[in-house]
Amino acid sequence: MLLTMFIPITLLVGLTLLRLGSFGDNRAATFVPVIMALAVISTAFTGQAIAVAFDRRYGALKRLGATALPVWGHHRWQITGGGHGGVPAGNHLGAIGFALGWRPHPAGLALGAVIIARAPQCSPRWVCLLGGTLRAEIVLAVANLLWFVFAATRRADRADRT
Amino acid sequence: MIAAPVKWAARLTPAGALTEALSQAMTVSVDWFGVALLAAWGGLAGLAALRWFRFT
Repeated sequence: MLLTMFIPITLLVGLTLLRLGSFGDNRAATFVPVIMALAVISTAFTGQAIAVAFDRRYGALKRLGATALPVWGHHRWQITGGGHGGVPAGNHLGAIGFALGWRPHPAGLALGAVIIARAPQCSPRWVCLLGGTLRAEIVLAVANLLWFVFAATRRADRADRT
Repeated sequence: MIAAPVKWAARLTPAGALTEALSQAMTVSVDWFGVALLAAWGGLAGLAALRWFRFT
């Protein structure tokens, strides 16, 4: 919840309302897609990786492994469930962005919705790779570290454009 | 100012590709490079997960 909602919302409101740096007049339009992408990645990757790792630690995955479910079936299940977790995050941040003055083109919004629904589906594969191979504590550390790397790279990329 | 290699490294991460794809989508255009990059990351991780994932 901290990485998927609280920090992204705080970043969005803070970066939009506080006039830090030169990011143009329409700061909401600059920051909403960036923070939305961060929240979607947090939901589809960071939270899920930690959950899978601890499921494995406490034996939940072992019980799944004892059923007829193949490895690819588990991955498909993770992709379907975890990959769509980014949609509510995108909705919440979009609503907050709208309140902050973000006014995207309706066609752009529809295209963005498709990308939010489909693109994060690459994350659960990383979730399975990390959560299904490393110790839970290592996954916790790596997933949180990657969150900071993703957040920093977003800032680096965006700062270079403005 | 951000150095070009850092900018490109940022662009090549999954978060970078998603951000760029999302930003361009809001301006009603498709970032095919970003979409391809996300597919490549997904494919790579999928193959690695099939190889090394363990239930226990």
